[in-house]
Amino acid sequence: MLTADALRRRLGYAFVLCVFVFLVAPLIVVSASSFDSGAYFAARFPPHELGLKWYREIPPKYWHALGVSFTAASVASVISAALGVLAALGIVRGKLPGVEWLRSFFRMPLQIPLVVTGVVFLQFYYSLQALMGVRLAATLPGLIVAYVFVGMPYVVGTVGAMLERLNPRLDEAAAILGCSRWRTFWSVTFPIIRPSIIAGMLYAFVVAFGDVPLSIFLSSSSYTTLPVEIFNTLQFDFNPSVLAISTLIAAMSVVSLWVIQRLVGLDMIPR
Amino acid sequence: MSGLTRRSFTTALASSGLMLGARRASAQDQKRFDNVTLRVGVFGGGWKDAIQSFVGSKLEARGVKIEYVPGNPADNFAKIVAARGAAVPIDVMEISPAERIAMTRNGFLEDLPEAHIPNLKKTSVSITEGKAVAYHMVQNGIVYRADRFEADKLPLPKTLMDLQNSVYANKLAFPDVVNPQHWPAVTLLALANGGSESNPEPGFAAAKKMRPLYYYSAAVELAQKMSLGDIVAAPWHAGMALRLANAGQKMGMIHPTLGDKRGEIEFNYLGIVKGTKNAEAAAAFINQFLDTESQVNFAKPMGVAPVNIEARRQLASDPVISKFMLLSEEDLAKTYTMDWNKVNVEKWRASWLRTING
Repeated sequence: MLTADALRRRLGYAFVLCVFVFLVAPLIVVSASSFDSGAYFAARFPPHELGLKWYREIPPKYWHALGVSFTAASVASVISAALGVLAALGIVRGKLPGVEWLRSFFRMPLQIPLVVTGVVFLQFYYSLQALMGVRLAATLPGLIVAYVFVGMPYVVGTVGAMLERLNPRLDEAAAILGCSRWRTFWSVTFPIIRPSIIAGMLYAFVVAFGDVPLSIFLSSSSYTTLPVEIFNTLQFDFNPSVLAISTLIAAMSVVSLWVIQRLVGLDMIPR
Repeated sequence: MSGLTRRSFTTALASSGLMLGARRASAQDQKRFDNVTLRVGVFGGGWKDAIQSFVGSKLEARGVKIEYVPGNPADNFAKIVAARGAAVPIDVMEISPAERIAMTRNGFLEDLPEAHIPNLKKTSVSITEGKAVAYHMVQNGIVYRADRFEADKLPLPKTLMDLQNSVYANKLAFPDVVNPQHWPAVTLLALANGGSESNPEPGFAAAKKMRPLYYYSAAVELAQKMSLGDIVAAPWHAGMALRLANAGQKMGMIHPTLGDKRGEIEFNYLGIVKGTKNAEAAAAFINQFLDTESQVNFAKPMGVAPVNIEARRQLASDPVISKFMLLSEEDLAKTYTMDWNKVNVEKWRASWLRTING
């Protein structure tokens, strides 16, 4: 006979399980359907004819687009991290006037719809080209700059939160023991804020890697990102190789997160 | 002029004129464009790949370097608007009917150099308002799952209004306002109920009375539901019927009647963007797209009807294509094409949303 407490707990677990299943269900359907060799123009779940046909038929343009997405998102997340850490240090420790304004300023890119950001960046790049001859529209550097714009607020947010909680006496202790400010940063501050930097970089990477509305204005046929390539394909045709490449990316994401978790320990990120 | 009659003189003159014209056309077909980079705004995905295979590759053989700017015409138009005052980012682009009017009225298109597009003479179309030329037709009608109709003993509709029959309720999908097939479907329904392109409200009410299972926005989503059998019919276009049939589905296509008209066609256009420095290469691209072989090869996988008359003649003998498309001159003469000049896009959208959500 179950007690009321035990029953409540079991119902709670069941509810959590249902929510979890609901959240991962699309991933399960996509992954399973990608192994249906017989399907065409439809994702069939459960799969009827198991096989790897659609994995073998992933067109080269998807691999190329995946390379573009990965390169642009990786470089942008590294630059976002470098700039975001400096900005967070300035905001939290800089004793600057109008810090709240600065915080809002660095949060601003998150409040602008990405499609608007895309059009504005495109306009800015065209103006830059007309005035200075610098070509950024429809180039990889152009994509990266735009991704840094939308990715940096995440790094400022995560690193800023960590710095707020960091005991300033640790720095003072390092200074008393003779460390220069540079050495204090690398030996004391950086190891502590490293998980938050990684977390911010991850957010910046994910936002850039999965973006469509911004990228659609800034990509070209030579530099088309994977989400834009898939979006363009889906406007006309459905080919289950889309499911196959999506499954591979999901699998890679899970493995990458596991590796990062093992190496850095994302559990230390401030919540 | 001994031994030369007036008739033979006229014939000789006409022949030499034709030969001169043919030589000029041939010279136009062969002109090289070395060191020219042509930026072409096209839909992406498989559509772009087909353009490259059947059109772009021919231009590349003549020295042109082609850079595609993938995106739907509205997005590519937005890119051109963003670049106003600077160098144009696209030289030549695909244009849908709504954008054609906006781009023409606002001065975003060059005058088309007809002399550089000799293949225009092989088509059944002419340059529209001096700025754009239709390069294919999308044939709109009712696409249905033939096997499901047979199994469920459903009557075949003849008009879009027939879809209000309760036997189709919750088995249909109707195009939402973001889908290109929405506009002609609503127009046909409006016309059947006393409305028009400028008064689409009767069409909205008629669409709602069909009791569709849902209003589709993306073609892929509908293809999925139709493949799975959740939807058995929808106002759609022949191209999708053809593509689903090629994928193994048993599909049918009905070109709905409206009075003495049968079928609805929408033209899509090509235009040269104002301010381009590559107008001649852009015209060569358009000319290549209107070429008979390119039109046939492009139409087959993409499911569009060519504007090139000879290409249509060749496709008429294709048993699969001719099953879904109207290709003869007689059939095409009876089709309806909606008048986009009468459409108030913003008012239409707002009114549609009010009707559907009301």
